Amino acid sequence: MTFRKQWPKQIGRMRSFTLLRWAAVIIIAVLFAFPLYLVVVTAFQSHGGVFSIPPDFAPAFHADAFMFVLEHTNWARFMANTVFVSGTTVVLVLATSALAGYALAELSFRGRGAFFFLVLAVIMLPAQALLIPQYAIALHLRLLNTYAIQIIPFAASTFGIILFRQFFKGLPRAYWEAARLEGVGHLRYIWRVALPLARPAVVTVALLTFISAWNQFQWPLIMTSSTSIQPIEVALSHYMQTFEANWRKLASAVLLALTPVVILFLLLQRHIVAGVAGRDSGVNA
Amino acid sequence: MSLLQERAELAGSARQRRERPTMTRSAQARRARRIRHLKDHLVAYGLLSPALAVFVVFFYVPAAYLVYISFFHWGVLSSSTSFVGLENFRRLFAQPLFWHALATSGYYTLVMIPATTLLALGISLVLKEAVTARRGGVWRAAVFLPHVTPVVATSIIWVWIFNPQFGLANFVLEKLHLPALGWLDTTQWALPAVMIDSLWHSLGLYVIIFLAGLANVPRELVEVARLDGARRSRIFRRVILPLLSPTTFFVVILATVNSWQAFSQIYTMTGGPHGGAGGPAFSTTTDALLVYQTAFSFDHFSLAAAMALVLFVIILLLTVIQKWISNKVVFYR
Amino acid sequence: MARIELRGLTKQFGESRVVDEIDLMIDDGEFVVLLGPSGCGKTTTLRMIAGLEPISSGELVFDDKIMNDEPAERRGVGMVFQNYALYPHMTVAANLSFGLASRRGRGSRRVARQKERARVQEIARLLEIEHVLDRRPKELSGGQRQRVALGRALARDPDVFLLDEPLSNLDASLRDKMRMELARLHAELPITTLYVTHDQGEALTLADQLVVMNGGKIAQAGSPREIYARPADSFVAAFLGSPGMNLWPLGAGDNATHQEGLRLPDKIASLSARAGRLGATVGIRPEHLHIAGTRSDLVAHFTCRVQVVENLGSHLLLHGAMIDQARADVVAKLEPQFDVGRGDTISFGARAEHVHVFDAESGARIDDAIHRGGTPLHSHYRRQREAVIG
Repeated sequence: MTFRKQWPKQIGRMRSFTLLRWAAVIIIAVLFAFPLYLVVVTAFQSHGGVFSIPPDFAPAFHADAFMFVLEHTNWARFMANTVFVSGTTVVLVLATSALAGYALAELSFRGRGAFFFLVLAVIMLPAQALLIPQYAIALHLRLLNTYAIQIIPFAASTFGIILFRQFFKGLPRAYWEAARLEGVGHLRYIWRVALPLARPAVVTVALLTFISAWNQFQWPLIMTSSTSIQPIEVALSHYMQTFEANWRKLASAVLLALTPVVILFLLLQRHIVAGVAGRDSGVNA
Repeated sequence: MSLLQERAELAGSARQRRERPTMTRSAQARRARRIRHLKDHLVAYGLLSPALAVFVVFFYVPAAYLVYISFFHWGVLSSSTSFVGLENFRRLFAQPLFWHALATSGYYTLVMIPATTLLALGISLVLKEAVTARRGGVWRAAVFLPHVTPVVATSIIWVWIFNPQFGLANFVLEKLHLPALGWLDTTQWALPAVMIDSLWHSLGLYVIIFLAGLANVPRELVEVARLDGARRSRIFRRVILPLLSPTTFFVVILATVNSWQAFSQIYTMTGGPHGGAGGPAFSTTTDALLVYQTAFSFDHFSLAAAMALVLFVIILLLTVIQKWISNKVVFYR
Repeated sequence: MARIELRGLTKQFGESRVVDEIDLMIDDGEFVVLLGPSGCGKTTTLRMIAGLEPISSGELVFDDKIMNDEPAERRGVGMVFQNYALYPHMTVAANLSFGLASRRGRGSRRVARQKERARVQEIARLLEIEHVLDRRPKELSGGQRQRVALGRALARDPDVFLLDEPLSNLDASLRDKMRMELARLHAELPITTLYVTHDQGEALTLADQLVVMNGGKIAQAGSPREIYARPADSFVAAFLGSPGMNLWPLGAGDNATHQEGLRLPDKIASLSARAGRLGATVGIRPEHLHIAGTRSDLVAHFTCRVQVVENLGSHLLLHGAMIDQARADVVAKLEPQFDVGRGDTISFGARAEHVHVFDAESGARIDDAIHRGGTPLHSHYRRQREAVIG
């Protein structure tokens, strides 16, 4: 009897609970997405609309500020610089990580433990503290203000090496033995067998490297001075001065810098998230 | 001939035959083996060398160099380098701004660690159910998206949000019937504004890490507790939280190191239209920022190097202390 | 083509000898099966021959060349791995030609490619996998995967063909079929073959020379028929045959474990005098036990009580215990029409030549065959080697 009476009430309570939960989920998502929405709205706001009180968050489409930025800034150059630096970094990181990861996973040689420690200990060095000596070394190597200094220091990644090592360790030993019996060398084996089979690792390392390369700011700020080779992030920081309080133009420039990363992320978010989550378990293991 | 004798003889002659050729070719064999051994090592070192070269040239050598510079009077371009012992450190410690920057960094980090950890944990708990739902990845992606955006680009938007007159922040405060704030123009609220930007930008990463940790909590343990009649809050405290402690520890370490080294968002939000970064009135000048400015704005490399070394030691100490604490608190399965 | 010789081949991991001074002669084109329980060192032996495992001591000789320090790829061996180790991301054709391409010498690339393709076709035809060349391993049946693995090992035309438990991943009916395939393949391509297995059915059907290993040593080597008929020791006797040989202690006089229920002719019983301090062991295979009185030449009589009868269709498998104080287990194979049930008492006998006697301590055979000067089988192979080496 009492049981029957309670039944609908309980359902009601359950429903209100999940409703509350979904409300929280949506609020959180909106909070995180809204600033990005604001970029778009501000970039395409009408001239006076930006400075209205109270602020106007409704979407509008006045492309004049955006067109101005497109036409009057060298954004294509900065973008090309960023793409070139990020792309090259990704390719190099993949190469160095796969090779080193393979050596640490599959080969036995004297000093393997020590080498592995050298690879791991790099993440203990605080990046901020090393900037000054890194600058001095770049100076001595005559690498200041070059593409090379934006790429080479990031061409090796502890995370990449560890991930590849883990993946290669998971491959059956007989894969290599079968290749070896047939006279296949290490490099050909890596290229034709190990790397294709480690595709998830390749994707994860490539994406995370690309994102962090795309987002570099302090490093190129210090190491480069000529605008012809600087990336978009440094250029944005210049624009902040150039456009002062012209928020529509600033937002337009920001929009230009954001769009490629956001598109890439939306296309590949599953892989990226899996890569980050995997990094966590990798460290704990 | 008895069987045993026959066997022994056969074995003996076999041994003799074995030994004879071994003697004559042992040197040659040893050489072949050594060459093969060497070749294997060359392959291994060859495969490792590109990565190691980068690490050594751009990380290990600089780390050693940093220590060297900080004990010398040294300029990037000046040829006169002289050993000054602890002089750089003495001058550094005599500077009130250094202590101020240290305090600012400490303040920033001390707020960011609990804020990051608690918010990330809370959000991941809220998202957990939504993520397992069909197409739940959308919510996770929305939270993670800010983390992949370039810091400078999005910090510019946060400057706009914190605009005292036309910004979103004060608009919201007004709707909540709270007094409007000067945000980046005031010494009191500039750093909190930076913190909000940083939280927005970084929380996604920590949420994903927590979600991965939560996914690893065995369902059975939670269900057993539920069958035992434990309340939700009790299950969370007694079952989920202990199992999540390695993840939490990882998040705390990561948040500490990232907070203490925060640069781009501070530089962007407090520089630009507001003049030299770190303002107003040095209220946002953290250690990391001061090192940068001392070296690259004021060309005082030795002093900056000494400062960087202090930064280095602090980060190392923090990590060690946290590791020590974790050994008592963290429960590893 | 190659003749293989192992001279005191040894593999040592720290203190333990996984393979302990193995001597073996393998003739050109011979099909040799290494049989033994897991951990007996058979796979390690195979891997040492392949060059995948360094040799601790002893010599490995192909024809007249010592191969100890020759790298694996220059030994001319083809190997089939237990799990096949087919590359999952490559098509069957690519799997087959992967090793071929590494041999490309100087000269026209196009010609080399054509040669590779022709070789892949040839191998595919031989193994009847032409229709699956464009598929990936995942899309193949177990038997097809097995064929591809064979094909890959054969593609480079090896002098020595090594197989490591190649059929253990297949289900029973497929295993029988592939076993026949392997026999056919060896008949067509008489490459010197070493085959590792723990399945005695495969071993007995496939082997020209069967090598039974135990604890890192060769327990016995010889033709399957010889080994089955005259196991060199009690381990081989019990290991080979299904079920294995019945083994009963034959104590010296007042030994407590002495099978008093077993009546042996004096000629056999007297052999126990030659045994060591633990006495002797008597062995009779289950299929050599006959119901007493059905033949006139039966000796070695005993009576047992039936505990379980298994009907296996072609025969009955009877499990019982001897009626004496020690109640030793008895297993016997009987005609399927024989009517017997639990609790029945049956008297058995066996012919004299089917009664084996071993030393209880060392396990070595001490019956009349050796006494008469018959050649123990591995010494036969030693002689053969002696003749070759001089």
